Amino acid sequence: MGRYILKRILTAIVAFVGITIMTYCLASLMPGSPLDQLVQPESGISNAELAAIEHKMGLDRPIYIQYFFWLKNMLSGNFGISYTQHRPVLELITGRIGATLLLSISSMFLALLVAVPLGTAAGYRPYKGVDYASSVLAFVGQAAPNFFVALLLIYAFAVKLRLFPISGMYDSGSSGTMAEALRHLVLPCFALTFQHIGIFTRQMRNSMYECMSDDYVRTARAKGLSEGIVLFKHTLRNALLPLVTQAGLSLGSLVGGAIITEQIFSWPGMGTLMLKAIKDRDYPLIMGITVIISVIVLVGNIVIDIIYRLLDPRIDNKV
Amino acid sequence: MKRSNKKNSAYFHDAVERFMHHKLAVAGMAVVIVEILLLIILPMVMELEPNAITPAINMAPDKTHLLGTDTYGRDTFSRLIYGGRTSLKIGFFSVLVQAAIGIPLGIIAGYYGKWAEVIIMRLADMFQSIPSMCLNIVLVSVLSPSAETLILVIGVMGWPAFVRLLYAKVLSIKEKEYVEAARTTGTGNLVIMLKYILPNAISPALVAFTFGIPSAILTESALSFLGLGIQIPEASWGNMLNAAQSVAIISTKPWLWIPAGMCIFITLISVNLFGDGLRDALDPKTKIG
Repeated sequence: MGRYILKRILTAIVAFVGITIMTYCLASLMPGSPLDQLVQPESGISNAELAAIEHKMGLDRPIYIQYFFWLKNMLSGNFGISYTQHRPVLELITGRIGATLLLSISSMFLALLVAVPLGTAAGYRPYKGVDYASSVLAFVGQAAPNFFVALLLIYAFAVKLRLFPISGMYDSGSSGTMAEALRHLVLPCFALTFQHIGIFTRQMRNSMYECMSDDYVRTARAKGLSEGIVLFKHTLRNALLPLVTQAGLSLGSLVGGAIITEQIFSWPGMGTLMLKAIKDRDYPLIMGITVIISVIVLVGNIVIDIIYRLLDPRIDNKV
Repeated sequence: MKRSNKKNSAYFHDAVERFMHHKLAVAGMAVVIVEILLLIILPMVMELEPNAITPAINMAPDKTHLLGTDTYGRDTFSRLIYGGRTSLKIGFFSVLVQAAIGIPLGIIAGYYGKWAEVIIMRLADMFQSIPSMCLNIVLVSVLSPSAETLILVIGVMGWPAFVRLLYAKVLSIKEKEYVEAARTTGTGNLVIMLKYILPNAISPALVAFTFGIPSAILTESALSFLGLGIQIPEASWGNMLNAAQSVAIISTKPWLWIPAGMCIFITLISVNLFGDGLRDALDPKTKIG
């Protein structure tokens, strides 16, 4: 197990380096230089001073050296200063990261909470009412863009029924309690998760359906075990495995979708921060957020992989 | 040669038959065909002016404006039709770019194995493990948003799906006798890949192509919705929904955003159903349930 985790972490580090290279290349393609923001034309800085600053920032070196400068700074926690908000990028991100994690993690759990029982019931009794209902849900879910779901939810639950707030994390002017945040979380969480409920339910249904015809299930039944034990102890545990893999695959699109969902509901997370940074062309902030979001997804994938290994002792953990 | 042709046509005959049994898939295909025909024919037979700004702003649907007008007095129905053309066009061409990158890489990874496999498959892993929406946003804003940029970005970010499906298929094809035979007679690797592997790997490519289109349309509309995709005045289904970012419009002018959202929804669900049927028909072994 230890060796497996180590190998997994090494692959993640390679992916991390790849992502930082891509991010850096993208940022260097962006128009304008970091100096433009620091040096206003009217500030009257001489060319010699400009060259000195350029040298100090490493901007006169080849691009791959600059990349290593940036990587080294970042690894020691220095993500640079935001051009427009004039505060350290890391400070801005840590102020927002909690809201994004709350939204993404609660969406993931909500999707699993709906998909596991529904998919199990559908796969257990295929081609019956529940199965058809879950298929419809799956196809509808996969085809509904999260921003359209979000607008429909706002229309139904906020405008017509006036049940939930549609903007921000707390009521304006309030000190902010947990209950208030949860009430604000309902609509964005559901909008973000809807698509994944569909995908997860379908995955759970299919793997349950396959497991039901496996030999060990037939053996368990032949032994005269009760249907409940066969279902919960023998089948469900195995049927859950592909869903764990699916959850890992969906993590990236869930966090990516959070960017849009946050924007619609003015959720104070990294997504809204990122879109603002894009609008302002605030490169250090854009790069910082891209790297942090990627790290979240990479770490999340490792955690899910480890859970999979723990659930499935059949896989040789020494590999 | 004649015999293999016969075998192929029998396979496709069976596949068509299997597909036609899949009623939902046939329905999905019918909807897509009708939609494409409408998008092509309607601008020829009706007077549609998607970008004409008129004083008749924020009109509810009536006889002259089937779906009302927007805040600039533009006809929503015209914009819906032209927006659909844009969205479908971007969906199709970006998957074409994905295929152009993914099919060769998938074949190379499967055929050569070893280092080619390690590098290509790890690269695919990496692309799939990063939140692509995040990089899409950065890429589009660096390259300045336009239809061409979207096609390029969605194409370059989305190839791993092709690689995965092709790779798995090529692994089984390269063990076949005809590949072995070609190799022993001294046929070059490139010829083997083009002449023996590619034609036999066409069905996973078709499946990947079909499923790629809805996800490309989804990405395009999400970016356009955020204002980072197709730029007004040009219409796309995504940027029509962008107009609904205020509660006032959501609650009082549903004709501005519900039709565009429903069009995306119906297109995606139809293509997905079609793709499901196609996958089951082309490869009966993978059929589940």
